[in-house]
Formats: sequence, structure tokens, C-alpha cells
Amino acid sequence: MSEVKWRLHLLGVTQSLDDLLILTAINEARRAIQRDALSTHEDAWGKWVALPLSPTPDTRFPSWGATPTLGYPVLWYPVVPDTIPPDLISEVVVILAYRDNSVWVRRQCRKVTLREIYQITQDSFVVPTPHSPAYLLDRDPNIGVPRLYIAGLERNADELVEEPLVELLYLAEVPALEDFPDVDLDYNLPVDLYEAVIWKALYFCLLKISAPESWALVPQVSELVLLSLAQRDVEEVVAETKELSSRE
Amino acid sequence: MLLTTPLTLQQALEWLWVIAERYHVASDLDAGLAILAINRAWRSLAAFTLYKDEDLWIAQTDVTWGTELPVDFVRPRVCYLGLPDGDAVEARYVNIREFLTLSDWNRGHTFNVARIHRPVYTIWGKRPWDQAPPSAAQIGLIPVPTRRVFYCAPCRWDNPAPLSAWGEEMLPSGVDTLVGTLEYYCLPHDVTEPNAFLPLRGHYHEAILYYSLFFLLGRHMPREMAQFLLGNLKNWLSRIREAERESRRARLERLQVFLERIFLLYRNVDGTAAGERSQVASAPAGSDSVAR
Repeated sequence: MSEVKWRLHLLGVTQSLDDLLILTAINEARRAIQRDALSTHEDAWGKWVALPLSPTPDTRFPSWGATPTLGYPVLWYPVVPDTIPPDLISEVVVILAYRDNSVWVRRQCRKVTLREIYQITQDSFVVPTPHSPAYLLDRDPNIGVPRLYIAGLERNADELVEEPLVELLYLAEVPALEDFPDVDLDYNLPVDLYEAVIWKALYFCLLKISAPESWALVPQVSELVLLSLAQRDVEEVVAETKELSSRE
Repeated sequence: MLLTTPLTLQQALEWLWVIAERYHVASDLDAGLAILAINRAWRSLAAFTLYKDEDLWIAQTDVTWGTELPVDFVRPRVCYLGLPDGDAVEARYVNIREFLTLSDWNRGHTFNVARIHRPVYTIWGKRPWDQAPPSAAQIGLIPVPTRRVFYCAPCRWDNPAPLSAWGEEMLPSGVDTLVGTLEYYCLPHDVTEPNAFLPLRGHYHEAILYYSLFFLLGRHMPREMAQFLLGNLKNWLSRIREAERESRRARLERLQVFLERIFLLYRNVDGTAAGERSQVASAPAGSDSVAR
């Protein structure tokens, strides 16, 4: 916060801004920069969480009866809804963990979309089993909350795996800072994005100042935000490669 | 002014002092503040040029499964892993999405599964549990954010079974994971010794000085002057970006020339280059058209 205050001072902004406004601007900046840098810095925002599975399958999905390979139906077990983290942006890795003859086993699940849930019951080599489980991330049709479902829990027609549990690695929204933000700035923010966050926070602060002379600085500051974010300009490389291949 | 030789902290300070004298504000400044401004300036510039000059800043750290990486970590460069009492070999970086399949020696294929002599590693957020399953208290608990964490395989914590699907012992008994060193690109630390060089290439020195001037004198200057310096800084950064873009374009051009040479090596049966249409194949019967 002191860095943002100092730079505002350097830019000649004399109107005093209260700490809460600056803190809000910093939090907005952190989230905006995270959105911009998500594809290039995603490993900085991963969180692991262990989630309980509901013991009863979800009745939302139709049952097509026993699969030709297994001889019993494939059912989708939801993760207990309230436990899905509220800061989830997207899932990265989903693991089904369970106990097998007193050994703890972890199996990475593969992603399945709604369009595939019928198909995977029909092909023997993709049908979900405890050895090769599948997951489906969908939204609750009524309230739009994310829902996670796992298939492949059946050991046989009458028995589920023991103590099933989901380990989820997900991209989490960068947390809002509440107090002493200077101490916390480095957490969950890669060091090469500091500069971009500070410029972006200045940009938000300048927008909130009512003095028209401050607005003259907005274009310059916003250009600095773009420049500081342009380090890994993937789109640019892709565009140039496309240009090159089109010439060929 | 164009500086191409390395710039020491002392030289940068002297230059700033001359400017401060010109604005009659030298008496308000002290060396500590000036060093702070210079460090802040070059670090900010380093953040802008990090991916162009990343080979300037490399650090090393000891790693094993679950090591939390330092704050100055930017991205990995090279990693060597091995058994605690054995030789280390170069590990390959894999995305977390494939890491857990490659580290699972009951599901990975024999040709790509992680082995002692072909280890893999990845970098992601901290997993609070290792061999043991998550405790009841950890289930459903929203974790706190952490720095980036190093994971490597083969590792018994991902797969406690001693034997692989094809009966091979993947790790010697008593060893849970590999150990090694990670070399990574970093954002370097502040320069405080007067004779130490500022860790940026010569063509950025002028930008460093402008930037430190902005930090140091911005509040003493007329508003127009501060805006001028900010504009100047913006121009510098645009020029750096443009130079970077130009060098990438040149590299692609060189690549294109290289591809053209390869292209001509392949020829059609009738002797025309592969890029040209074969006269035999393309010319209609009875036509006297000539291939290019």
C-alpha cells in the first residue's frame, strides 16, 4: 500500500485517498492481473483440497442400465455440494483416493463432458472403473453453483471402493488482502507480476479520483500496465508464427 | 547519453546527484534514499525485461518432493535429481496434468513412467498431505495460498505399492523420494555495495537513471516534469518491447530461410521442386503449358 501511495504522490496526486479505497484498488488490481496472467502463470495459483463424496449417486443423470463390459450401471457420485471451494476458477487435477486392501490408492480421473456420459458406458476401454475413474464438472441447473461428479467407484455390482475421497487441485482466485497488505503482497502473486499489479492499482486509484487533472495520467499508467504484462506475450508469438506459416 | 559499459551503484549515484543539484533538491536527499530509488528502478525494469534477459539472473536451490520455492523464483531452468546417495541425472519438466499419471507406476506406460534414471518434476501449489490420506480435519478445509512448491517422481508418496504393474521395483527400499538441485530464473536481490554492478545490460542504463530520477525527485518536481519523466519511461519500455519484437521477427525470418533450404531438398519425380506442381501431374493431356 505504501508503494501505491508513494507513486500517487510522485505523480502529483494531491487529493488524499483513504486507505480503504487504496486497499480496494490493490485487490481489484491483483484480480485483474491474475485474470490477464492466468495462462502464463497458472502454477502460482494452485490449491489442493480434499473433498468428501456423497454416498448416494446423483439421480440427475439418466441410467442406461448395465454397461456391456461391466454388467452393472455406471453411476455418478457427487462431491458434497457445500464443500466445493468458493474461490474455484477451474479444476486442474482431480484424483480419486480410496483404500484397497489397507493400501491407500490414488488414481487421477479423466475429464468427461455431458456429451460423453452415454458414450463412456458403451466402450469397454473407456468405461470408468476404480483403476481409471472419470469426473464431470458441471453447474447446478437451478442455482449455477459448480458441482463435481465422479464415476468409477464400483468395485463390482454390489460393492463400492472403501473410504472414497476426492483430492482436487484447482486454480484459485487470488485472495483479497484485508490488512497489512504490504506484508502479504508476495503471497499468491509471482514476483514478476508485482510491477504490473502496482501500476494497475494506481490506474484504479486514478479512476476513483474526482480531480480532472488526474485523469490525464490514466492513459499513460494504463499503457504501463500493458507493457509490464507483455513479458510473455503468447498471442504475439502465435500471431507471428501464423504470419510466417501463411507466407509459406 | 549512451552507456554501454557496466554501471556501478556509485556511478549511478553520482549521476543522480548531478541532476539533483540542477533541480536544487540535493540537500533534501540522502544516499540511503538514492540507493533505494536506484534499486527500485532497476528491479522494476528487470521485471519488464525479465523474459528477454533471463539468462542474467540464475539461482540454485536444493529440492525434494514438497520443497517450497523461494520468493524470487520466476521459472525453472534445469533440474538434476537422483537417489540421496547416488548420481543425479537431468529431470524433465512435465505439466501437473500429466505428472500424476507418469508418477503412478501402476498406470504409466513402461516407456514414459518416471524412473530413477528418467525422473520428472513439476511445480504447483502445496499439497498438505503426503503419504497419509488427508485427515478428517483436512477434508473440506479451504487451504491458504502458498508459494509454488516442487514435486518430483518417482515418489512413494504418490504410489505406495513397492512394485510396478510389470513387477519392477521402482525405488529402493527405505527411499521415499529423490533429491537434487533446481536451477531457476530469478529476480535478483538489491545492490548495496558501491562498486557492485547494476545487474542489467548496458542499453538499459539510461532507463534505470530516468526511472530512479522519477522515484527520487518526482515529489519535488513540477507536475509537468513528473509527467515528462513518466512519458520518457513509457517510451523506453516501448522501445525495449519493440527491440524484443524485432529480434523475434528476425529469428523467425532466419528460421524461414532455413526451412526454404530444406524445402528444396525434396524434389518431385520429374525433377521439379516439391513446392512446384509437377508438370507431368498437373498439365492436362495435350497441353503445352510450362511449369514455373
